[in-house]
Amino acid sequence: MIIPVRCFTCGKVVADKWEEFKKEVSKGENPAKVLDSLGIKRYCCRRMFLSHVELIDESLKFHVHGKEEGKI
Amino acid sequence: MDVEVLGTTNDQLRLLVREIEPTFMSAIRRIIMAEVPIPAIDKVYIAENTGVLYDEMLAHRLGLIPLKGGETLTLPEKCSCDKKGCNLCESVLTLEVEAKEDNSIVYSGRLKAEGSVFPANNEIPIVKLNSGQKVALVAHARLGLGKEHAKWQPVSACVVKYEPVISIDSKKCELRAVCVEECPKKILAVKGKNLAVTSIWDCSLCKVCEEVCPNSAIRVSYNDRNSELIVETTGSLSTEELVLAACEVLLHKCEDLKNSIKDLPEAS
Repeated sequence: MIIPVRCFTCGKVVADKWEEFKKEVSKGENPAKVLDSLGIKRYCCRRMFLSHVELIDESLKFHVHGKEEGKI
Repeated sequence: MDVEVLGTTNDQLRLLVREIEPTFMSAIRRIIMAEVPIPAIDKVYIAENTGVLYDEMLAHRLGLIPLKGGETLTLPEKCSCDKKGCNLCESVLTLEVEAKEDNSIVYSGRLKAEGSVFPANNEIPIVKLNSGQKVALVAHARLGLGKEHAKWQPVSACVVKYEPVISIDSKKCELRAVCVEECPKKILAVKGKNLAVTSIWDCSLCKVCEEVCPNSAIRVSYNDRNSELIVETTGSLSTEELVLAACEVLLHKCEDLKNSIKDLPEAS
């Protein structure tokens, strides 16, 4: 759904680095190099980035825009 | 015992301890992982959540955010409130956001500390909201131990490693440098007419060099009298504070044992 706060295996905080990772990779940078520069060394943490799909963006598209309480 | 710092970064400490029992180092390691108290959000009262993440997911994400502070808090088990939760053992944080734009991200920095506990990292995304969606909640943080839940584990990696010992037989070595190529950590190099180890502490004792050497000129072993302790914090406590806190906990355990032995009835 949304990037997990921590690595499932070791517990390192990964969520704060996701946006930087996404930005660099969408520019065409090599994901391995971006992960190295972010200091993500272990393969348990690296897979958190490489295998993540930000599904919350898809979910948000289907949400009704409105401010009335209880109608959203 | 002799201690040397092999390297530090913001979140990592590499400590070399010479002439020490490996079991003692392991005790420190296990205490750092499981028994150093740090704060984490434990109860979340959600007043409003119109975002796409369920309340449970929101609460779980909040729990995993590393928190700083809370030095004055007591562990609920030792608190006079009998684990019910009072202002001596709990600290309150609040979050109230209404998104003005679509796809706006709510970061951990928006958590407002009402007590002594605050987020150690302000850049963690908690939830994404579309315009008009609201999240309003009150979170209670308390101290806890890593053995109860991983959110109270103050480290992401805490490792004890023996000192690697690489012995090179220069009579057998023909300097073909196969091992230099094959070493996954790249710690071997040919210097002049000798094969040399550039950074011994990076050796992972994988013994690939032993396997690829046609002359069996290289041998990898370890010395368990010297150990390296690698501590990687999640942000609640600094690495130095963690090691000191672990020593403190171990001291208390020994003190407890000593007192219980003293209280034993005299053997007749």
